[in-house]
This record gives sequence, structure tokens and C-alpha cells, in this order.
Amino acid sequence: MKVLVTAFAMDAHFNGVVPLSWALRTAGHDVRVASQPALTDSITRAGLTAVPVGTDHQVQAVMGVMAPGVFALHRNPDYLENRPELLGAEFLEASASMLTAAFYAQINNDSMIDELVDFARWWRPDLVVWEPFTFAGAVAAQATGAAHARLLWGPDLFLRVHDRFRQALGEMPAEHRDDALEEWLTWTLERHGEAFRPEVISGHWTIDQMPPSVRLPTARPTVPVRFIPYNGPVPAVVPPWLRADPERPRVLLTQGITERSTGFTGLPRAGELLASIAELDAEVVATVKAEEREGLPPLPANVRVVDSLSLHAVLPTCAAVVHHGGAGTWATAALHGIPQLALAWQWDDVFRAGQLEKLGAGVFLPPHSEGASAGRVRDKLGQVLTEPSFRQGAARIRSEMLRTPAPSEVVPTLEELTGRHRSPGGRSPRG
Amino acid sequence: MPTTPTPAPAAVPTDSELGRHLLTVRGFHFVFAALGDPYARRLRGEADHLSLGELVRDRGPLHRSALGTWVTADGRLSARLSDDPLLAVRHPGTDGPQEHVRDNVWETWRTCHVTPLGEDLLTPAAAERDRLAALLGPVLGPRTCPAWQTDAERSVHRVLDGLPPRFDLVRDLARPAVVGSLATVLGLPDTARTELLELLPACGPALDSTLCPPRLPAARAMARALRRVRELMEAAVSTRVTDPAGDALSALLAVGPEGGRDPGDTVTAAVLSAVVGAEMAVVTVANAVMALLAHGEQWSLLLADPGRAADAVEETLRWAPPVTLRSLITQGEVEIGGETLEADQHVVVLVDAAQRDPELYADPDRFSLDRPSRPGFAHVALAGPDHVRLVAPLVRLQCTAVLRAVAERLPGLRPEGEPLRRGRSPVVRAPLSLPLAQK
Repeated sequence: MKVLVTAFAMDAHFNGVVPLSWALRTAGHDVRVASQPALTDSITRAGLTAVPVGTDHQVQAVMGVMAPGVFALHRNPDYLENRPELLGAEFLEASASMLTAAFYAQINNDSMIDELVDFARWWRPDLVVWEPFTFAGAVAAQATGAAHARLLWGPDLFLRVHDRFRQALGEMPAEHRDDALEEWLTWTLERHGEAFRPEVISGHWTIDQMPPSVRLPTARPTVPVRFIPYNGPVPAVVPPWLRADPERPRVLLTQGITERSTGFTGLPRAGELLASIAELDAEVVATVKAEEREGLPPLPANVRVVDSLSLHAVLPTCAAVVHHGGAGTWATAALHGIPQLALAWQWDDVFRAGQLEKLGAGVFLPPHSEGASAGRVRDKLGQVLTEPSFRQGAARIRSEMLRTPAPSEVVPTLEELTGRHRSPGGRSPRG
Repeated sequence: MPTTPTPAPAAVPTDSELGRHLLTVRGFHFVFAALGDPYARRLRGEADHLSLGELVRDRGPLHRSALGTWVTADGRLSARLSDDPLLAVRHPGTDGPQEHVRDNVWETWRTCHVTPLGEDLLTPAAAERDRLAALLGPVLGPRTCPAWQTDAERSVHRVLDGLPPRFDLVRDLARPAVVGSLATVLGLPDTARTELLELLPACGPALDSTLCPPRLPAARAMARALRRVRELMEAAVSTRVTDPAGDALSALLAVGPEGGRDPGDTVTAAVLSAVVGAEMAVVTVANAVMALLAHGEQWSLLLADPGRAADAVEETLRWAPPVTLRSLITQGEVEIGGETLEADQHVVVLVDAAQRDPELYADPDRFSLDRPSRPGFAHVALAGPDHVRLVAPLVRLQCTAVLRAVAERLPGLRPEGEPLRRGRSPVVRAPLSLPLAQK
């Protein structure tokens, strides 16, 4: 079959679609990956076939204006800890409105959606697989009668909160119902001769890469798939020092690629953190951007600072990892059974970090709290290194993940679901 | 017969262009509301609008909101700004409709003139506004309007005649009474009256939509309804051009520069009365009835003397004005509240909060019919250099006629539920419905 994969141009969100794209390819399917032109190099470097569509999105500039307000609203603990039942209508309306304006409608810019629809009308995919914020994929699928599925990179906080929002709207007088996301998708679909359908938000089904104990059910069809690390634009190279076991327990300190590029970071200043962690009886490896490295104080001999590293190359040699909580870092560590110390503060990072602690596989330290000083991070890390329960907890998550079918094993399921949801014979080129 | 030249219509934005613009401005409101900005919180539609007004006043006579708009809730300053020629509804030195749909709001931060109406109804150029004022003065001006009182009262009573024991304040009383009196005064045919009644709810968001983006379908419905209202008025006016009668449209057609007739301006005056005037009158009637029913002793005063309806209207205009946020643009450098503002700055007056400024009004939260007759009483609810001032006399006439009739004929009125207000209505805070019963 023909599979159109799409993710808006941001590496962290693209990385999560690569292993399944390859699984589909090696199963003999024709796979093309569409995004804004800015992602073309990342797609082709991943060995995939790129379809650049539209002009580049401007979400970075928009977020420059909007981020403080967006983060101010979404520091709501009920939201971050996945307690959507506690979220009020006023919060939900504000959240949907600002995220649609500042994020969804930005990363899915009109020209990108329109060219994706045009491409799909010509190429006629059987299945569209879309990153869960890349609604353009759902629009193109509906416009061409293709089956379509969301491919999650993390727990499905978004759809859970959206479901709660729909429920809250149902309890309001009709005159007050305001769903910015549905409104935007309605006029976007109408531009292509289509009416809004709820599957444009939920997909015909969801492909979930989280281990079962971190997955969030949404009462919709879900295909679990094992997370496979793909390190994205960082070249996956094993340096000489990584070809032998460390003499002391190795600790990795890293912040994700998105926080590195956007500057919205929750981590304490790297220098202070490094100096403190280095007091432990451990070998510390830290990824620090070249420009930040100049500002670092002189560091002890047990610290190795590198610009970047392939996580799946270094993590199997580590005894623990300290990170910002991002999806790719979290899942790569989880797959390798490495205890984690997550300084998580935003979005699904918080829920994932909380689950980590609950499952005994690591520690969650909210970085903006009093308790996240460099000294406290060091002490907590010391605990993680010395108490075997963390390693055992991490091993439990790892075995859950290994029991989940690999991408290659879910391809037959995707074929079957595609046959069920695809409009028979497809549609005429103009809907 | 001289006619007003109509400016070339602006290209109509596509649904995606307009929708994205409305969405973006709404996003701005939510983002800065989340950061605590009281003006953004007002626009976003937080419930406790009066305490947000107090927060604005706490920041001094004038401050710059995080949205970039200068805002004031100061009573004295608001009175001054209502009369300052350096503050107007248009950007200085621009022609044609005031629209920012195709601007990149992320760069311009322009959150004024949010929704294009397809015409300059709410943003007349100074020359047009002065022409309309000169046209309306001899017919529906502050001194001349009372002449239509009997006509207005007659049509209001006709609406009351048909009220069932249980009815809705807005749907069954305020809106039909306001449209009925408007149609009678202007001399519209019955078919136009009926259609106007159906069109009015869709026109409703016009005043709100200058500052608060409506949902896209509402914006489109509003533009369609406005076009249709204009067609109705054009038809009514053209009838009166050939067949004058004793109504206000005929009288307006008889006024004009050097006694000539200007059907174009008469049509615009009629559209303003129907769109801006009727919305303000419906809202004021509804606000007044709600205020009176919530303040039993004031309701008793009016029942004892229905002739005090005018006092009830004036106090309602102060206590719960129909336009709570007035949007203005500086026409040149101007000093306001200790700040020097450049030309082309956006200034918003929180009228409702300014009219509860304790510096100007003793016991400002109290609703009292005795207040308007006290020396020095004034409010700015119908002031301003814009469309609001033009329709003010007719709005007063309509509201007074309705309240007087209600006091005379519905003394046993009581609420039978909670009022529902329109969504995305931070400017007008428009009541949509309130179930009422008469004994």
C-alpha cells in the first residue's frame, strides 16, 4: 500500500515516526514523508523519501510572543499530572484557544495543509500516519478517503484533555460552546470541500509507543507498538571511549534537542549542576552546546563534556540519566532499563516523570521548585545510583516495552485497519 | 439629487483568512489573560467584569495593557476622553474601512477593529459622521426625538398586548418592543419589521466584534445580516423618496445640505439605528428590567410613578451601560492621564468601571432612581465621538417608552430563572434570555 507519513517540521516530533516508517518500507510498502521544507534534510538523512509541502511554519517566532502566557496557563497541575476530570471549562477553553492560535494552526500553516492535500489527491495514499499535532495529515486523509492514524510519541494527554473539554462543552448552554480547535479544522476542511468529523482530531485509530503502565487509555482503537530509538539529526556514531565499560558508574546529563533549540528549558544552569554531580563517585557525561561550554567553570577529571551524543549508543552503558523529561530521552532510557532523574516541568513530561517515580524506576524533581537545587539533584542521583530498587523498577518498564510488538510486527494490523477504514475505491480527485 | 459616494468595497477575506485572524486575536486575549492582564481578562470574557475594572483603576488613571492598548477606568478621565477630538474611531490619515485581517497580527499586535463589517458603519470618517449628525439633528436629535414619543409608545403597547403569562425578557419583550418602536418611528413596512426582528440577533455581535473576535460562522452571519438590513432600509427609503409620509424616514429625506435630499445618508442613519441603536436599546431595556427586579425598592418607586422611567433608563445607562468598552485611536500626540501618547495609539475606556468610580459617584454600586435628578449627575454611556452618540436620542426614547409601559402594565413581573448572556460579548455583555412571569 501507499503510506503517507507526516510530521510538522520539528525534529523531536519527526523522530518518533522514523522506525515505523522503516518497518512499513521493509514490509514492502511505498512510504513518503511530508513536512515543511525545513524538515527535508532530516527526512532524507533518515533514509526516507521527503515530500516538502508549503512554506516553513513560523511557530518559533509566534512562541516568542506567546510562550510566557501559554506556559503560565499550562502549569496547572491537574493538567500536567493527567487529572483531566478536575479541569474546569474555563481552563479548557483557554487552553484550546491559545494552543490552536499559537501552535496547532501555526505548525499546520495553510500552505502546508493545502499542498499536502494536493499531493494526497494526486498520489492517493491508502493510509496516512500523522504525528498527533500534525492535523494536516488527517485533513489530507479525509479529503482523499484514505485511512488515517495518529502515531503518538508520548502518553495521550492531549486527547484525554480534549475529551474532557468536549464533555464540559456538552454541559454548557449551546450559546457558550467555544471549541477553537474544531472551529479552525472546520474552515480548514471546508476549504477542501469537506465537513468536520471528529476523527480529524482522533484519527481512525491511534498507534501508541508508550509502555502499558505509562499509556493513557482514550476508549478508542489503539495499536500498541514498541518504542525504537531514533536519534534524529544527531549523527549516531559510537566514539572510541564508548567501546569499553566505564570504570565507575556512568551518569548521563542531557537536555533534549527541542529545549536546546528553543531556549525554553527547565534545567538549572549546566555548570552548577555538573560541578555538583561530579562530587559523586561516578563518571559524568554531559551534552552541552558548544557555545555554552565556554561558560563552564573548570570541571573535575570525572566529567566528560560533549556537544551531542546518540542516546541509544551511550545509555546502555549508563547507571543513570538526568534529563529534562522529554519524550525521546525518557523512552530511550526506559527501553534500556536505565533509572532516570527527570527534571520535568512541561506538558506530558510531568506525567511521564511522575509515573517513573510511581513505578520505582526513577525520581521526579520539578526543576522550578525549591527542591531542585544542584545539591539536591546530586543527593537524589546518589540515591538512584546506590539503591538497586531503581534498577529493578527500570527493568520492569524495559520488559514491558520488550513484550510490546515491534514496528515490524504491527504492520499486518495496520494493513488490516487500513482496509477497514479506507473509503472503497478512494474518492474523486475533488473530494 | 446629491448622493454620498460609496468607497470601493474592500476585497472580502476568505474564510481561512478571516478565521485565522479572529483566532489569532482571540489567542492574544487568552495568552495575556493567562499572564494576569486585567484588560485581556475582560476581553477573554472572565465573569467578574467589574472587579477587573477595579484592577484597571488600581493601576492608575491610564496604563498600557500587555496587549499594547492603553486602558482607563478613571471616571474623570473617561468623561474628558469622550469629548476629545484627538480621539476617534479611525486610524489617522487612512481611508476606507478600518480592517486588519490581512495584517500579520503577530508583528503588528493590532487588536483594534478586529472584525471587518464590510462597511464603515461603526467607523465613519469625520466628514460622514458630521453629515449624519447634521441630518439626524432636526429629526432624531436630542431635542427633536421626543416628538416621536407617541409613535414609540403605541408600538410598545402593541407588543405588551400580546405577551403571554410566561415569556422571555429579550425574545418576547425587549427585542420586539425595540424593533416595533423603531419600525413605527422610521415608517418601515410590516414585512421589514418582521424581517428586522429575525435579523437582529445575527447583527448583535457588531459592537462586540470591534474588540472581541466572534466565531467565524457568527462573523459571516453578521455580515450577511448587515447587508440585508441595508437592503431593507434602501427599499424603505426609496419608497419614501417617491411617497413621503409622516414618519422619520420621510423627515430625514426632507433634511439635507441646502434642503436637498440625500437618500444614501438617510439609509445609513436608518441602518445605524437598526444595528447599533436597536442592540443598545434591547440591552439597556434588559439590563434595566434585571436591575429593577433585583432591587425591589427601586422597582416600587417606578411602579408608583411610571413617569420616572427616564430616571430608570439614565441610572441603568450608568450602572450597566450597553457599551462597556469604548475603543478609540489617538489622532495626534496627546497627553492623557499623565502619559504622552503618540498618534495612532489604541485607547480603550472601561465605561462600566469608569461609571462606578467612587471619585465621581457616591456609593457607586448602588442602583438608585434618585441619582439622575441630583445636580451634577452625568454619565458617558452614550457619549463619544462615534456611532453611539448618533443613535443616543432614539435609544433613550425607545428605552423610556418600554420601561414606562412595563411599569404601567406588568407590576407583578418576576424572574423565573437565571439570565443567560451571549458568549464572546465583553463589550456589550448582551443578555440573551431571562424567563419572566407576570402575576
